[in-house]
Amino acid sequence: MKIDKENLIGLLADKTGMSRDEIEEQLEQLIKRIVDAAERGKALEIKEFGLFYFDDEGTLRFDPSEELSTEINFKYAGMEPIELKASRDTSPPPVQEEEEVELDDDPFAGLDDLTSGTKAQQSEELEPTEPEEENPFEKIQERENDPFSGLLGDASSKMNEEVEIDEEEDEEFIEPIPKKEPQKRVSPKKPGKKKKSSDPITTIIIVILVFVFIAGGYFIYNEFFQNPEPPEPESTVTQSDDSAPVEEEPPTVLQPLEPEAENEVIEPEPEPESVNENESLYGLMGSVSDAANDGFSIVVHSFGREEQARNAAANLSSEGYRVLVSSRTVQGNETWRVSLGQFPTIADAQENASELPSPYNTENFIQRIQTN
Amino acid sequence: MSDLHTYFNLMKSTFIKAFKEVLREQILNKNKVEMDGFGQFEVIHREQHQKKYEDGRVVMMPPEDVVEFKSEIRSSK
Repeated sequence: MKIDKENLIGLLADKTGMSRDEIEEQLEQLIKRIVDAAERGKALEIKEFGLFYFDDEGTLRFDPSEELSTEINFKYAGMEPIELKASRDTSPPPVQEEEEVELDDDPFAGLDDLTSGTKAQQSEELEPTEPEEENPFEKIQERENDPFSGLLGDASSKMNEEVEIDEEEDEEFIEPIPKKEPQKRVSPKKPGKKKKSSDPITTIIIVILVFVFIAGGYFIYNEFFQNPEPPEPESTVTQSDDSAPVEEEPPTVLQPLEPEAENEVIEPEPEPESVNENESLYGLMGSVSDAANDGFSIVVHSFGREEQARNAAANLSSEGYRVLVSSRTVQGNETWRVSLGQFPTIADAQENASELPSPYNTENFIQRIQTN
Repeated sequence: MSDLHTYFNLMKSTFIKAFKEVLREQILNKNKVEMDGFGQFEVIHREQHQKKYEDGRVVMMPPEDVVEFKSEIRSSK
């Protein structure tokens, strides 16, 4: 469908509540500003939208922002270039590239070549002159946290990371159990452990370091802790007590926490719990969290009337899903979308979408969460 | 007065925000947005294609959608 200037003005007027005349004037100003900046050899950036500038031939060009490009390409998230034929020599490939690309039309050309560096430096950010404006900050933050920041390629690697994290969690749950028993039985050992690290802050720092360590070296972790555990839990404790404090770091760290908190009641869960808190910010089930509105959601219904959307949402809610209802204007008509879950990345959302019951697993699409 | 107004470019933040949102929505819906006197935005789909590098590498590029902006505006220089 084609949106001409009249349509656009109408849409903008609807969105802002301004009059058409006012919108028209603002639009003129925006265009004027873009062209003025371009004439001065600068690029004008509209945050999270793109960059306007004159190219070498004096044609006005637009480079979409990474956010916009990624969003348009969400279908292909996780697809990476595949090397079919290796390089002839081992020296790094020349920057000079592809035969077939018409540089002018390549939106990424600007990203690749050197001129983009200067462009970016020169770029004048479009910060409206009104002081009450909170946008710039909001935008900057969004950008920093933006799950898109890694383009297509990153999505799959993120997925891998997540898989690893899941496995770690499982272990986290398993791990404390053997410790629990030995501790009850061998209670006299506790004081000894207490002495080892008395400062709770140090303990916390160590815990954090250990997590970093775990994330970085999952296999090492696996070897050190998986192996000793199953055969004799008791020996694990004695080991960690007497020898090899470096290798056995997590046990020595985890255990002081417990006596400090409460001597009698041993809570093996404190760590998994904190993991859960982070996790529960996003998810498919449960209730909607405002803090997770910077993510993505799986759209499963689209209705013309709000009432229908609310009904469908209520049904899904009763099944335990996290349900969001949002409205968008599609081709001039208001549509109400019902979407499930809040996910930090598109890849996450896709993974969850594929596990939904039929027909949602095939009939869905992912959108960025929008709060109206 | 209105000249002065224009000169100082009092652009409303709500307008910019709405402009971004509306264009983004339209572009995501694969709509072509034409603005007379400025240019048009359009989403072009590129099929997956092979890319040959000078060093002999051949890489299969994934399909992608790209935003294309065409403008009749030319630099006056």
